This record gives sequence, C-alpha cells and structure tokens, in this order.
Amino acid sequence: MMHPESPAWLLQLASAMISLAILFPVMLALLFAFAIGWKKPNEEWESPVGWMAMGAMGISLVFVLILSAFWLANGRPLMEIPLPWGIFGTEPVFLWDEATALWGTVTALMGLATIRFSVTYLHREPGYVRFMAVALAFLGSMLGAIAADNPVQMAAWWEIIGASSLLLIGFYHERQGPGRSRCSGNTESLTPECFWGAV
Amino acid sequence: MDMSNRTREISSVGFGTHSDWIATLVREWAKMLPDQAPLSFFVSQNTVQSLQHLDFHKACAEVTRVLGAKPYLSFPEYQAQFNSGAIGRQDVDEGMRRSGFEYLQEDPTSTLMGHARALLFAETPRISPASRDWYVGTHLADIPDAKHLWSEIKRLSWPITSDPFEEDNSTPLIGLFRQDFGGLPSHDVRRALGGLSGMFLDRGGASKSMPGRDEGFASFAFGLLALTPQIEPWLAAAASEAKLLNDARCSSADIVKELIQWQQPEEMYQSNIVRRTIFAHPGWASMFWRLERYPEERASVDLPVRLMDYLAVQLILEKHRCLDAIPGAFGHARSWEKPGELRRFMGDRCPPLPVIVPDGAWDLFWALRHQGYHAARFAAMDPHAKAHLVELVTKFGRRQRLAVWQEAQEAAYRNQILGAFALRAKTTKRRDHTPDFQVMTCLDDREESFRRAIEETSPGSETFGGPGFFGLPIKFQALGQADSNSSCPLHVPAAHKVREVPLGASHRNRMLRQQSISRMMHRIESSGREDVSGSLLLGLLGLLAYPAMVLGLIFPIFAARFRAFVTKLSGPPVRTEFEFIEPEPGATPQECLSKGTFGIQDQVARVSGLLENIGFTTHFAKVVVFLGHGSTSVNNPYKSAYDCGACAGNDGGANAKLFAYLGNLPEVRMELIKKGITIPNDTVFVGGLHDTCNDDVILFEPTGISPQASARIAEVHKALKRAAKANARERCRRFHSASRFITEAEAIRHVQGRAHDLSQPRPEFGHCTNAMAVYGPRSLTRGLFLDRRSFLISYEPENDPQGIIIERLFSGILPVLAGINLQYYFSRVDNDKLGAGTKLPHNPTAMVGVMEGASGDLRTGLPRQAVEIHNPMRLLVMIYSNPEILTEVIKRQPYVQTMVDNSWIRVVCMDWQTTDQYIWVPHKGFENVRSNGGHAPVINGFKHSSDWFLGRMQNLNPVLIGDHETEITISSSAPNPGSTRGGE
Repeated sequence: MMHPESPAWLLQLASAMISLAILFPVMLALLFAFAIGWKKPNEEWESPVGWMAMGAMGISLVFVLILSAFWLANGRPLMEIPLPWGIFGTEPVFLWDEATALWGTVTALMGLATIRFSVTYLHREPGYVRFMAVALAFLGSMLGAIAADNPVQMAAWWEIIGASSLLLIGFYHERQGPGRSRCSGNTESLTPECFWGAV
Repeated sequence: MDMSNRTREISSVGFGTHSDWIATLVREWAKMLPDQAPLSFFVSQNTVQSLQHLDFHKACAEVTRVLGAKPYLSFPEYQAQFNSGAIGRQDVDEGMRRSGFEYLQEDPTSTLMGHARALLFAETPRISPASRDWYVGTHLADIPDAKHLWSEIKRLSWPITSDPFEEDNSTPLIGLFRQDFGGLPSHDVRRALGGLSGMFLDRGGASKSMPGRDEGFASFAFGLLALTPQIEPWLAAAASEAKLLNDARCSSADIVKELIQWQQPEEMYQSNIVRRTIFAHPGWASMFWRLERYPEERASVDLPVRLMDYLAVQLILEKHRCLDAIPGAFGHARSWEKPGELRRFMGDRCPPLPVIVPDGAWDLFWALRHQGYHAARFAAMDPHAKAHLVELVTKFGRRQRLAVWQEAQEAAYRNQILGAFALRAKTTKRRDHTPDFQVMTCLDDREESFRRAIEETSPGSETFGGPGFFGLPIKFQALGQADSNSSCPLHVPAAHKVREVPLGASHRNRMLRQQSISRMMHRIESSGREDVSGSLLLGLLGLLAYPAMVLGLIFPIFAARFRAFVTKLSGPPVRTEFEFIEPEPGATPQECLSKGTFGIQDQVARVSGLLENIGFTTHFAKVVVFLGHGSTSVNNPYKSAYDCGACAGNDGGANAKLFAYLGNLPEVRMELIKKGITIPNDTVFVGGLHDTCNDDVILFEPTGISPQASARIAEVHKALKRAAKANARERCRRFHSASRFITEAEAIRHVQGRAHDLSQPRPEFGHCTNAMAVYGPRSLTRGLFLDRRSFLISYEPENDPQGIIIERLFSGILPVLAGINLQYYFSRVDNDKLGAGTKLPHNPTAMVGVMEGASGDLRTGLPRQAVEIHNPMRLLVMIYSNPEILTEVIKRQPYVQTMVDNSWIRVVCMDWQTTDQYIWVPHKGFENVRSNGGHAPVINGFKHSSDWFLGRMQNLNPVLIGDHETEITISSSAPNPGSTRGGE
C-alpha cells in the first residue's frame, strides 16, 4: 500500500497520475498506428502529431515529477500504488521507490527531449507519424517497466520495448543496413527471452 | 583460382609488367566518379563534370547509361507545372524546338504531332513492367476494352532495348547474387570496405591514427585483415590470401587485373566489369580518386592514396564473399580456380531476367487513351501508321520527352526574366551623386535579397556584388591556428601567404590566455575519445552536459546566448592585424609565388583589380563596407557547403577584413591614384561578415580612425542590422515553421533559433532555387525582385570597351557559378544516386565524408534537405554588354565556349547601348530574342519587397519594387516555373 494513513482520494490521484504517465504515450502510439492504417499520412499531419506527441511526453514528465516530489516529501517510502484497473499481472500495483523516481524522471525527460528533437529533425521525412507512434510506444513501455511491481508485468512491458526498439532500428526499412540490423537485433533479443520464458 | 597460389606464380614468372591497360581503364572510368573534396573543403562542383565535353542532353543520356541515374525531374513534376500554368504551351513548343523535334511541329495538324503531344501530356501511372497486365486488368474503368488495347499494343514489333545475357556477362560476380540467392553479399563487402577505408583515410576523426598507412591502402588493409582475428569465414579467407599477397609484394594493378580476369576472362566484357566494380561503392572510390589527385587534402601529404589499391582490396573481399555465398545460394561447395569457371556455373543456375515489353508500349497505351482511342479504333489503324507510332515512341522516348519538358521549364523562366529586364532597362537611372554609404557583398544568390533589403531600408546607399574572396587569392593562417588554408576559389591557385597576428603586446597576452583555455578544452574533448579517460569523463561531465543539451534543444537561442556569455568571460576579442612576406629585391615572379610574398605592388594590383572589375572607381562614400559571408549552424557536416564557395568553403570574413585593411593603407592609396582611382582621405574601408544563416552582421572596425569615422561606421552597422532583419523576414517565407505573416523582429529570432538548433537539418537553404547570374551595373537590377535566385556580379560595360574586364569576370567566376548550379541540379533530379539522400542517418566518417548509419558507402552530392525546394534548371547568364564583344570573349575562353556550346549554361546578352536582347545559340552565336517569342508580363507597383513575398511560399516572379516611371500597368502573372513546391 502507498502509506498506512494515506487518504483514499490521494491514492486515487496517485494511481491516476502513474497510469496516465504511462498510458498517455502508449495510447497515443496506438491511436497513431490506427490512423496510419486508416489513411496514408501527409505533411499536414506533422504539426498535430508532433504537438500531441510532445504533449503526451510533457504530461508524463509532469506526473512523474509530481509523484517523485510527493515521494520525497513523505520521507521516501516504498509506495505501492494500486491501479484503477487490472493490467499485466496478478497484483494491479505499480511500485514507486528510489529507482523508479530516478529512472522515471530520466526516461520522461529524455523522452520529451527525443520527441522534441524528432519533431524538427524528421520534418518532411516519410514515416514521420510511424516514428512518433513507435517512439511513444517505446517510451511509454519504458516507464511501465520502470514502475512495474512484479516480473510478469515487467516482462510484458519489456516485450513492447523490444518490439518497438526493433521497429526503431529498422525505421529506414527500405535500406539494406537497417533491415539487417533489425533482423540481427531480433535474433539477439529473442534468444535470451526464449530462455527466460522457458524458465 | 586461388589467388595465393597465383601469387607464387606471379612472383616466379615476373608478372606485373603488363598491367598498363588496367590502369588506363581504371583512370578512364574514374573520371566519371563524383569529384567531391573532403568535408572541410566541400564546395559545389558539377556532379558530372567529366561529361562537360558533351552536349548537355547527350551527357544526360550518359548519366543514365553509366550511372543508372535520372537526369531530369519526373513527368508528374513537369506536368504539375504545366497544369498550374507555370509552363505554357508556347514554352513546350520552344522546348520541342530546342530539343531538335521541330520537325514534329512542321504540321501542327498532323496525327504524329497529336501523338507526340499526347505522349508529353498523358498522365502515365508508374507501374513496374511485371505489374502492368494486372493493373490494366483491375484498375481501369473500361477493363475489357483497355485489356484489348493493351494486348494490341504489346503485339506491335517493338525493338529490343537490352539483352539480358549481355547484361549478366557485364556484371561483376557479386552483382549476380540477387535477393533470391541467399541475401546480398555486396552489403557485407561494403561494410568491411567502409571500415578499412575510413581507418586509412582518417583526417583526425580518431584520437589515434592507425599504424601501417605509409605503404598504401592495399598493404594497410591486407596487413590489418591478416593481423585481426576474423569471425566471419569469408573475411578469414580474404585475410589469409591477403597475407600471402602482402608477403609477395604483389602490385595492386596486378591483383586487380588478375581478379577481373578471374571474374570474366572475355575481354569484351572486362571494361564494363571494371566500371561496375568502381561504381559499386562510388563514395569511397571517388574519395580515393580525389585524394590521389589532391595530396593537400589528405590526412598527411605523404600518405599514399591510390584508387588502384582500393580496387584491389575491394576485389579480394568480393571474391571471398562470393565464394562464401555459393554453397548457401546453390548448395554447391568446391574450389573455383580457373578464370570464368564460377561465372559459367552461376550463369547456368541464374536464368537471365526475362525480356519485357519496353516502356514505350506502356507510354503509347496511355497516350492513345489520352486521345480517346479505344481498342477497335486502334485495331482498325493502318499497319504502316502503327509502325510509325512505334517509331515515334522509340525516337521520342522518355528521355527525349523529359528533355523537352526541361527545355520548356527553362524557357518559361527565361521569358519571364527577359521581360523583367527589358522593362527594367527602360527605367534605369545612372548614379550621379555620392551615396551615404556603400556595401560590397559576395555575388552569392543569398546576398541578392540582402542587397535589396539594404537599398530598401537605406535608400541613400549603394551596393556592389563581386567574388567573395575579394580578388585576394591567399593562403590564410588565422589567429592561433597552426595551419593555413586556401581562401580562394578551387580553380585559382593561392598566390600570397597572409598571417593574422595580435595587435600589440596586450592583445598578444590576451590571445595567449585564450589559447591556453582552448588547449584545455581541446584536451578534454580528445580525452573523451580515449577508452579509460573517456569513460571517466562521461561519468563526470555527462551529467552536466545532459541538462545543457536538453536546454539547448528546447531553447536554442537562450543556450546560444549563454554560451556567448561564457565566452565573453574570457575577455574581449583579440584585435588583430596582418603579416605578409615581403618580396626580396630582385626576386623573380616565380620565386615570389613559391614563397607567397605579398608586396606593395601586389597589394595595389589586387585592390585596383577588384575595384575596376566591379566598376567602383569613383564616388566613394565616407564608409565603404566589404562584407564577406559565412554561415552558422550546429550538427551540420555540410557547413562548408553553406560558407563561401569563392573562399574554398571557408567564411569570407578574413578576405573582407584583409581587403579593407589594404584599401586603408596610405601607401596603397597613393599608388591607386596613379592608376586613376582616388579614394578620399575621409573614406574608410571596413571589412565585415554577413551570416547567411542567422542574419547577423559583424563589422571589423579599423584601428586608428577618427571618432567621427567611428560614429559613421556605427550608424552604417545599425543600417545593415536593420536590413538583415528585413532579409530574415524574406527568408522566413520559405520555412514551414515560421508564420506566413511574420514580423521582422520575429523573423530574426526565428533564423537565430534555426542556426543554433541541434535538431535542425535545414538551418538555411544555401543556394537552393538558384537559376541565373547577372553581369551588369546595379542600376540594371536595383529595385528588381529576383527572389534570391540570381548571382549578381557588378560590371560596368562603359568602362570596358575591349571586353577585357568581362573576359576576366566571365572566365574567373563562371566555373564557380556553373559548379554550384549543376550540383544543385543533379542532386535534385536524382537525389538517391546523384545526391546524398536524406541527411538524417548521415554520420561524419573519418572527417572525409558522411555515410548512412555506422557502415556503408560515403554519400556524395547534396542531401535531400538541401535541395528539396530547388527547381532544377541550368544557369541563365545575363550579361549587360555588347554581343560582338561577348562573342569574341566566348571564343577566346575554351572553358566558357565548351559550357555555352554544349548548353550546360544559357547565355543572354543585353546590348548596353540599345537594350536589345540576344540569346546564344550553340555553335551559331547570338540570336535576337524577339525571334524566339514574347515576354511574360511583369508586375509593377510594389513599394517594398515584403508587399510581394509576404504570405507566399512558392517561387515568385520577378517584379519591380519601388517607384519606377513606367507605363506598365499592374497585371496578373503566370506562376513561376517550379512553383509547385513551396517552402521547407
């Protein structure tokens, strides 16, 4: 539990914040993926997609900072934040401790900086929306893995990280090099995963 | 053949004396490689300059044949311009005429002409040959009729355009491994070759240079392969053979010859095998070829760089990768010793690609549909008429039709420009008073808008344009630098050595302090690339660098200002002067040249030469500014390409400062009086630098001037900053991220942000959209909106009755202009093959070039981001002179004559006395323009340039700005050629 004497509304607020910090990027990634499937993106998509992606990572960063501040102010307890719904595991809980606060902040900040960089860097590049979708899925699941409470939940997030990182490696799929790197990356990441899966 | 065994044979029979043919062959094909210098020397040159001896369109055919590249835009791009009205029907007619298809126009009502037009205008879907039957059978509204028509057309007797058997025989073995035969081994070779080449050519990218580079690339690569344990079997096999070759001291030419013969013993195919081997990885091959010819661009002048060495290594790697791939692809492992044995084996198992119906049939299908033909009507056609159609499509093929479109596009632009100049010439007023101040800038097209802005914001000013090195071919050693760099065009040898030194003892001490800080920073940077210290530094300083980087990403201007503030803490800038080598009495000109002396006579000659060339010998204002230009950007390996091409890819500030310094020397001014150039005593020459990216203007105030002069310079500086803001506003119209109706203050902030933005792949657009050059007085172009598309060279024909000055300007400047224009042209029309592709995955490699990702070939040419809004057209050179004089000049200058007679540039002469216009017809001479058709209308009546450009992103027509006493009324005008693409 979060804290023995924490009021219920605080628990609910913390729960909503951690969920949204993770789910905003992931849900937006899904939305972009559906949009690509629905219609071929053009240059007019760039601006709204860029702003939405930055907004999602910005919200994630703000929520992570608020939770970290709250955690610091309360004497750095081991916080178990219940989720409003069950997801990826037997215990629907996220864990907040030193590692989560540090790496959550670093990941959210890096994520925001990366998205901000990509908005300008990838301007007019074919695959702009696809990149944003995959990058958001990667960053959101990174946050999920960092805050995961149990190995099952972590493994689930880890798979999304693996899949999205392979898609990022092979972003320029029409070129030989990235295509091959993606294949070798797939082999290299699948082998240990199969082993752990068997275990 | 096992090369190691062969090597022993070679050694025993004295092999190696009959390799001249291979050297000749390699040299001949190497000439076709892109001639691009390492990154720090990057200046634009014609991508296919080895073909300049051919007519432009013939050269384009060669570009397709040899390089497999597209030399023109695509049909949809031209057709979009036609549909928007940017290209008119009369322009297409002119294009037909200029491309040699006027015979089709002789009877405009004939069927053949109708078919030819339909071939030009029909919108033909880009479907691969294998999918065309499927497309016709599924995508068209009238499927049965379309299928019938298509099958009728396919049945016509189409000439065979390529022989697949011949094609396979001319392909290197490694090229025969297609995707369906076990992957693409060429990719592995490229990866290995790229690593070895990078290590060998490294110009300082690595903290330590590799040992063993002194004996050439082959020896280096073989030694390294043999020494390093190889995981991949084919590399291990290559390494063991390489060791034997290295020990046997076999020459590279012999290795190349033997391996070519091993691949293909038939002599008739060997030339093509060599060509395709060279062009398999054109980036690295071109860099080896370039550095072989220009030792000063190597990491060290003594480093032996030879293309033949590179080919030897490439062929050995290819051989072993092929041998390694055979079992996987064909399940057949054995040794292949005899020359040609492996090719025969593969030929039996790789069936040649099937013969396909030529593209002409597909084009004819759509041309007929465009004219409303149906299957029955076509079937009823006379067989002779059908044969004529096939002949028409064959002779008026895709390449020829694209050439017509290109000519049409250029004709459309030319007619607009000629109209604008005809109008402007009527209202030209000569200067008869001394201006408030004068500014000379580089002739660069980016300065066109800046000069216009200066004259609009300070109407009492006057501007000139000339070569950005200010006529000073120098080798310049900047303050605190150990080496000197040429600061003049690549085709001009540096004649004088100039060194920048601190002004007096106090500045010397300040420089020493700043140098010690720089050295410390350099040590930290170098340590960051070491194994142990790098890891430590990463841990210690990485945490500090991280927030700074994030800050710089989100607030680039703030971060830049913060950096500038930190720099200021080390003290005010060091003031400098110049140091020259004085010639010894009695020294011959050759001795002076070899020592790089710069005596008073040379100084006077250089100053007077420039002033005479640009027609600036009287009416000197109290402040005369000479502005060089450079470009600030971060995270940009192509920075040199944005700097001054006339200063060998450096910024022009040093030359400008030096010119002003020389022009202020009393002894130089005394000598100038003898040459008829009297500069008043109260006139001060000031050097400066215009940053074409962030639109900053810096003036280097001379020392020892009066307070009044200093105040006047400050006033001029303010005026130039004001103009720079207006210029930034005009530039912003092309940027998507800037507001369409941006204010000047917002515009300057926007361009400053771009210059310092780490994530910005388009800090500025460089020479994008360049299309023409004007040699003439400013009175001819002042008030004419040329949309930053024109190079402007000041020239006064009145002062040049013999054509001596125009000959100097023409022959001296034209190679630079044509080089820029043609590199942009080819990088735009086929960015993948003739340009560098998208910039985003580019990594600077060995400080010589960029490659995609972590391994691969070097990319040459300009990246897509630098040319995406460029409208490719050959340079239109407008000269305000006399056609007879100009004809003589062109005949006297072989380079110029080649370029104009082969149509690599178009020359128009405007007679300065009658204002009649003449266009150069190749191999004939000047022809009056009136016989070529009319002019497009020109809009007049804008008070400021911003009235015309604000809110518009596309290319804009020339218009007259300001008050002009003309009788022309405002009228609508056709869109500008190339206006289908707007800003970034």
